[in-house]
Formats: sequence, C-alpha cells, structure tokens
Amino acid sequence: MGAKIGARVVIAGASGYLGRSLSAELVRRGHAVVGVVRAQSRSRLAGGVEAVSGDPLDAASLASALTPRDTLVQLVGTPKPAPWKARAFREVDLRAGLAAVEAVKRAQAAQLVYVSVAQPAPAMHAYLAVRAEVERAIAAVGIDASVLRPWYVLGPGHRWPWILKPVYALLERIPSTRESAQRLGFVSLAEMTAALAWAVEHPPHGARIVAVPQIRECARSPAPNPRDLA
Amino acid sequence: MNEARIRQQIAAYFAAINALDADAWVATFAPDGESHDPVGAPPHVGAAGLRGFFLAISGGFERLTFDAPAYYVSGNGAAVPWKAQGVTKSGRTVRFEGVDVFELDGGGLIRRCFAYWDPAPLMAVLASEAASQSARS
Repeated sequence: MGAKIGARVVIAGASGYLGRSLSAELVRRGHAVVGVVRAQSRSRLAGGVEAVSGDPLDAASLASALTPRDTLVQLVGTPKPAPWKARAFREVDLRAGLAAVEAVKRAQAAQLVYVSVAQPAPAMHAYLAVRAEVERAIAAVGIDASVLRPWYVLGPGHRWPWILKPVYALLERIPSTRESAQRLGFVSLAEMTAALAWAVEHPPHGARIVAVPQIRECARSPAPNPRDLA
Repeated sequence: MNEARIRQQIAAYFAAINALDADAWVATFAPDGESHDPVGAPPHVGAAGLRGFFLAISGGFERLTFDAPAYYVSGNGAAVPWKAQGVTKSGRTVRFEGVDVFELDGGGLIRRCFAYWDPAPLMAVLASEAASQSARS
C-alpha cells in the first residue's frame, strides 16, 4: 500500500491543539487541507488551510464538505479533558464522533481518521466510554478508519507530565507493568502529528487501531509498513 | 557482621527514601551495589544507576513514606516487610507494599537489595495523575 500524497483532507477541529499542528504538516506535505469550522474559528486556522463553514457536530453538515475521495479527520473534543467534564464529553465529543462516522458513510469518503484514547485505562472513565462508543459505531458501520489511541499528548501548554517520564521509563522495563506503561505512555505533539499524517497517507481497508507504541513508531524514519499495524 | 550495624544501615536506607534524599540513599550502597527493584526488572547498579532509579521514582511524588517496623536479620542480611504511601504532586495518594531482602558487605554497606512488590497500583495512579493534570496543564 503506497503513501497517498496530494489527497484532499477535511479536518473537523482544525483550529485546535492537534488540528493546527496536523493541518500545517499536511499542507507542508502537499495535501489540499480543508478545515470545517464555525465562523469564529476561521482566524485560528493554520496557513494554507481552506476554511469551510459548517457544524462539526452535525453529520449532514460534515457530509456536505466531503467528496468520495476525501479523508475526514475528526479532532473535535472538549478542551482540557478532566473527569468532571462527563456531560461535555457526551454533548460534544460523542456527537462529533458519531457525526463524523455518519458523514463518512453518507459521503462514501475514503477514510475516517479518529482520535480515540488508550484502552483500557484506570481513569477518565466517561471520556473512555464516549470514545469506545464511537469506536463501536465505526465497527458497526463498516467504514475504513484509522483509530489512534493516545493517552496524553505532550506539547506546548501540555507539559506537566514530563516529570513522570522517568518513572514511566522504569515501569516499561518491568515485565508486569511493561504493557500498561506502553499503552498509557506519553506521546509528543510531533509524534501525534506524524502518526495522524501517516494515517491520512496510508488508508486501511477496514478499521485499524494505532496504539501508543505505533504512534511513536510513526514519528521515526522510515515510517512503519501499514501491514505491520493492520 | 554486627547485627546492630545491619539494622542501622537498613534504617538509613528507609530514612533516605522518606526524606527523598538521593545522595543519602545511594550512600547506603556499596560502590558496586545493586538494587533489583522490583525483582524481575533489570537491576540498577552502581552509584549512577542507583541515583537515576531513585530520582525517577521520587520525581513522581511530593512525599513518600515507607513504614518498615520489623527487620528479620540473619547472617549478613535481612528481610524487611514494608508498607508505603506516596503522595503525588497533585495530592493523589497511592499505597503499595512489599518485602526487601538485603545483603550487606563486610563494611556494612548494601551489596544487593531485592525488592519484592507489585508496581501495578503505582502504574495506575501515575497514569491517572497524567490524565487529571490535562485540565490544568
């Protein structure tokens, strides 16, 4: 499966933490990038991104921005997620996720790229439940989709857990905690951006899970063979 | 080996942990001392390896308190059951327990320490800690 360069990529949430980084990277790689945004967010889009007005929580609105060859990247979510934001997770994250699934199905778009969360995990249960529900919808509808499962993305304004990296490194060396330390490990914004771009350029057949170890691998050169992540 | 010397050294080992004092903790070991913590993981060897291990663990905590009420001394070593409580930077508490088995050299320094404990609860709390911090980072 060769890399798909130059395709049209529609991003819901293009003005956010991951969205700005990803859209700038995709523009740099030669993709035509479209951001589906509300009017007030247009000014926060990265350079080179075409703005399309729409409601990322509405399937019909999203579908109208898609053509059959497009990839839809769904990045809309509650900012700074925390355990006490369960209601927002259902009202925003769940609606956005399900709208994206439905939009890809309706428009017969090439692929959905969805940012889920590491599972299982010992915290953020409401956040996990919403993403698990979207993952189930992806499986039920049967669209082609890349589901990325990070735990925490380190980057500007999101640096606090750096202090935990040494103890995580130790826990990755202990047989009984290795798997959970890797599954719940931290990834950098650069790694996440590289993994999202990789997913855009390597659409799967069916649904593919990209967990933390694979997200990290995508930032290395050469990028992994898609068959290794199937 | 004098039993009192063994007890003194082990007390210094736990006191250094409770004070989060890496220098004092490393000083309880022989220069080529080893910490197998937990047993089954690659050992931490020598002053640099031991210091790196201590700083990695202690860096996740505001406070660490080890309670080791009984030392079972035999020959040049001892087995010490302990219960620990850690308080993370955000005030989250984790409790874990285990047994340390020490071997000391002729000079009274720790040659090897074998720590038997399950780090899974620690992993769970640290992962939760990272997630809970996303709201304030």
